[in-house]
Amino acid sequence: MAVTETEQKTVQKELTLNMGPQHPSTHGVLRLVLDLQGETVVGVDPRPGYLHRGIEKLMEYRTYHQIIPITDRLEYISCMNNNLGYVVAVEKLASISVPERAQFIRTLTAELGRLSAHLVWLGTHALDIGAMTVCLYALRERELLLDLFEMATGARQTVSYARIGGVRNDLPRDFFDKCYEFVDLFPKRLTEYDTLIRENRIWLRRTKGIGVMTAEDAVNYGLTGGTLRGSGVDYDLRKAEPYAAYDKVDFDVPLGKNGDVYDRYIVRLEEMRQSNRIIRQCLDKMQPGPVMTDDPRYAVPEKTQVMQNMESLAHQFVLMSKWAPMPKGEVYSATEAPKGELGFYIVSDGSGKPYRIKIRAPSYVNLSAFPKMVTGHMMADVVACIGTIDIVLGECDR
Amino acid sequence: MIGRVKKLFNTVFLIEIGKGLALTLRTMLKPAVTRQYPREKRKPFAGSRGLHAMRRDDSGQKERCIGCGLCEAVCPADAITVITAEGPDHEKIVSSYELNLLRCVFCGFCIDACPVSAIQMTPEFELACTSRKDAFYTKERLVKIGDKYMGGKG
Ligand code: SF4
Ligand code: SF4
Repeated sequence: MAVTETEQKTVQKELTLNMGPQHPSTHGVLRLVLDLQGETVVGVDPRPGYLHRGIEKLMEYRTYHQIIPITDRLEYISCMNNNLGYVVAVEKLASISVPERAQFIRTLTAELGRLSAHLVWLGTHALDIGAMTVCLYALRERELLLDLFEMATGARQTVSYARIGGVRNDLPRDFFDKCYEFVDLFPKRLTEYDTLIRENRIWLRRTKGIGVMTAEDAVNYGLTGGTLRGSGVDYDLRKAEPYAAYDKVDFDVPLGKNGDVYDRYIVRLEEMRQSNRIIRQCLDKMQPGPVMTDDPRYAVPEKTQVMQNMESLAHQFVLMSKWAPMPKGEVYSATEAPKGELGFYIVSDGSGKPYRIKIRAPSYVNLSAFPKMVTGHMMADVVACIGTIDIVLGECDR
Repeated sequence: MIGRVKKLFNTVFLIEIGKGLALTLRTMLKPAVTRQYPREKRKPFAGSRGLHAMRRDDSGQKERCIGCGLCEAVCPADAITVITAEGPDHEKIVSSYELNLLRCVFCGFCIDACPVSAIQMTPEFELACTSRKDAFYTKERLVKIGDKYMGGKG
């Protein structure tokens, strides 16, 4: 039977396929509009925004202190890093100095947060590609981390731990034993993940040469975090602009070579080893001392002081009800969150509430490189590429 | 050359897959780490942030809260409502204290803010309820929880 002209057109026409927002491998509620030519992806249009909660707007109606729990809801897998990123920005705005012990605690908890984020990434990424065991093992280790969070802060997920000028409370004594236990155990567990997938032929076939970003492209797209370092660009804010106690600990920044899915996997896995190293150093180097700033303007007074001392009581009332006036001005400060550069741009009008806060969410920026990564690959590589840019939609959509 | 032979050997005999399977087999023989939740309960750690409780004052007769409203002011989720009135001896009494658990995010700011440590948090985390009304915790209910976790005295 002869093929008519219309039929021929239909055969050549691309197929448009909606993937998500409710799809198990889109890591939340990401919607992708895929243009397919047979099994090959010829174009993709990510449509984020399904998890938009107006976080930046909500922040304008809260005092600087009340914003801390909102930052938990950005990248909800590693709340510690979001809290830290925010308070570092506020401290820069008002030039608040933070005592050393608090700095070490912040570094320690931020690295624990990084581990918990990377474990979820590893688990889900491997699960997307088909390695189910890794997911179960990774979540098993994450449970230990969540226990540590609960000991330190009282909450497992939405920790709200960092405070402007310090941290909420000092670490309890049994935390240290548990944490040492964890850092001893964790490298062994990392070796287990390696045994499972590092040389696995299916894993290699699914990840090598997929989603390649050259170093130049990666920089041009503004990528940060493991997604950038997988392409071999040495840029880590913990080294480039050290905050908290990162200048007092020793660690390496792992780099990839080819910029494909496999290299990014190696980079993040190595990052976990380095995080483990940082945690151990923090535990060793921590000296006793205060965990809240002595800056009289912004230091939240201790409970015992509040109960005995009239000035502290009055100060407590001011800080808790409307926060102290902040200096007028604008500030941008960025920290290295597990996904990349997490920046807060704060505009202050001199009151206890910010005039405007803009969040530079690494997931959002990294997502922009997704079409570049996936175009030309097969349909099945789409999930590998979503996993490798390591996005969390809570942060992407804000 | 030796490297290539080794690689060929590994490829033909599925060495890396075998190693992975050996690991999963070993793990299978270890005790399971999964908790069968409703039957096996984990003990929460000290200082765990769960359901709120109200302490009693030193006399043990009434709640410790002085009605300052600081918890209401600091709450980022607007979960607390405090209403005060004038008592028979012209003292300030807390006529109503209501905590809306449907709004609460368990940040713990209210307990950090309370100047008399009246409102506290307990490690109670099983908070499911079948009616909206049950999610509103009044002063009396909070005091009762306080009695359960901290004894009747302040
Ligand atoms: S825990 Fe946080 S959200 Fe809940 S009532 Fe207290 S201040 Fe409000
Ligand atoms: S619970 Fe504490 S902070 Fe809240 S109104 Fe009572 S005394 Fe004030």
